[in-house]
Amino acid sequence: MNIEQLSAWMDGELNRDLEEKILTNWLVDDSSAEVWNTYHVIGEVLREPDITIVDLSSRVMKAIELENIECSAVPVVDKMHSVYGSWKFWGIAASLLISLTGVGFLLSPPNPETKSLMLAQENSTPPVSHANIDLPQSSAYYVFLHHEVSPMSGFQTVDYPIAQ
Amino acid sequence: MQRFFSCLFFLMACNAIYADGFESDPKAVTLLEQATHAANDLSYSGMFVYQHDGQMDMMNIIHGQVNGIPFTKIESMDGQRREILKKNNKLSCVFPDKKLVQIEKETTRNFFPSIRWPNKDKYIDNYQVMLVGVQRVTGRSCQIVRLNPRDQYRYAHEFCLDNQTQLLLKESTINQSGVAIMTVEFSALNLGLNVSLNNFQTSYEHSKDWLHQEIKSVQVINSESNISLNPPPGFESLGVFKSVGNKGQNIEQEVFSDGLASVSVFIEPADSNQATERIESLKNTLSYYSAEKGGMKITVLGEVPVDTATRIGQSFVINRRDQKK
Repeated sequence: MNIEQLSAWMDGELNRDLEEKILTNWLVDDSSAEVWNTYHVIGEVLREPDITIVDLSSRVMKAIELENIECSAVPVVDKMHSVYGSWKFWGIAASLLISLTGVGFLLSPPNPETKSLMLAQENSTPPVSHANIDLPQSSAYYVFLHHEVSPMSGFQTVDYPIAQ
Repeated sequence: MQRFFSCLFFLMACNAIYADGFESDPKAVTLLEQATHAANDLSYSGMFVYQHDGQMDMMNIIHGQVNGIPFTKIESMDGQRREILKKNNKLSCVFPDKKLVQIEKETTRNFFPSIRWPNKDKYIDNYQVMLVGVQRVTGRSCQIVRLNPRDQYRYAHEFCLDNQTQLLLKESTINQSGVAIMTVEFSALNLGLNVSLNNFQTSYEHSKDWLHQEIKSVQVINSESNISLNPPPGFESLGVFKSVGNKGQNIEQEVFSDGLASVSVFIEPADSNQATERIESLKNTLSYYSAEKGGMKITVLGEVPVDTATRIGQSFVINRRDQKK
């Protein structure tokens, strides 16, 4: 007996061929008829306007507690595999690569064969006041110019123009 | 008559207070001026430590006069190898790791313990100068001279000057919270040694075959700036300088100083849409501010508190003639 087919037949959604199959089965198996009656009683009760609120929640919860739950091993989705396989990941990776390539071109050092340079034409990483100083690229250039001109700057710090 | 003398006395008292705020110690001022000569005239060698931003760097130094010309050689003992050779105003910086030598023929840079102390008039209104005690540095007794800022726009400084020679042995820059944000001091010192030219030769024999780059000074234009700024009281403009940026853009640099601390303001055409201000407290006691306004980019950099750099940057106004261009 297929309960889903019975329910679909009640809702008028069952295939004609399957209807005949169910009726044929009734001739052999009475349990289908019992399910049929039960479903109709449930439907009429629910559609009855005079029926007051029926609290079935406690009975349902009890039934759930008593139900034997069978756990079966569910294959773990390989998340990494799914990420690598996603278009989104490849799009992000491509954007990052393009950005890094662009930054690399912007930061490329000057021609080392240049013998004499104007201070302002030094296109490599501008000299900074200390090897470990943590400055944005352009800020280091301003620091160098500042120390070149300011009267007290060089004194206050151990100041070295450092090529990079 | 009594009323006249009362008013006169009151005016004199006000004048005394206004002229100095808190009175500076003349002896302290004299000591600082003597320190300038000591660093230049004495012969000495030693090691000094530079403490800043949670790290320490050690340097080896030797200084002296050969045939009346001052020579200095400084070598780094930590981090990237670098060697500074200074003969009068000519400066050579040797970077062995880069096989590079940078040369400045007319440098204005000073390195510890050398100081080029400004005229008293330039800073006395902004700082109270006083003797605050005695300290021992590298086994030598020294006098502590403290410069207290008269307002919140600048840092305090302490100088430890050797009692015997007035050589600067230790210097600290102190923020408004009383925390030393930068300290340079000798850890070992030998005075009065005999020096010769051999003491000031580079330690890297093959550096003559390396790439030599001459760094020319920035061009002074001394013209009116195209922008208006409103620096805090006590900061006066030292001039406008012109240079070319690393992208070929013209950069105007106006320098302000209160006699001790200096602030550079860089103006150049904006090349991005930096909508927000950028304010940072950088290493080496530097504060940094940048923003864009009216198609121009302003960058402020100086040995001042962050609020001071921000105030200068936010007072930026483009002059009309520049807008018409």
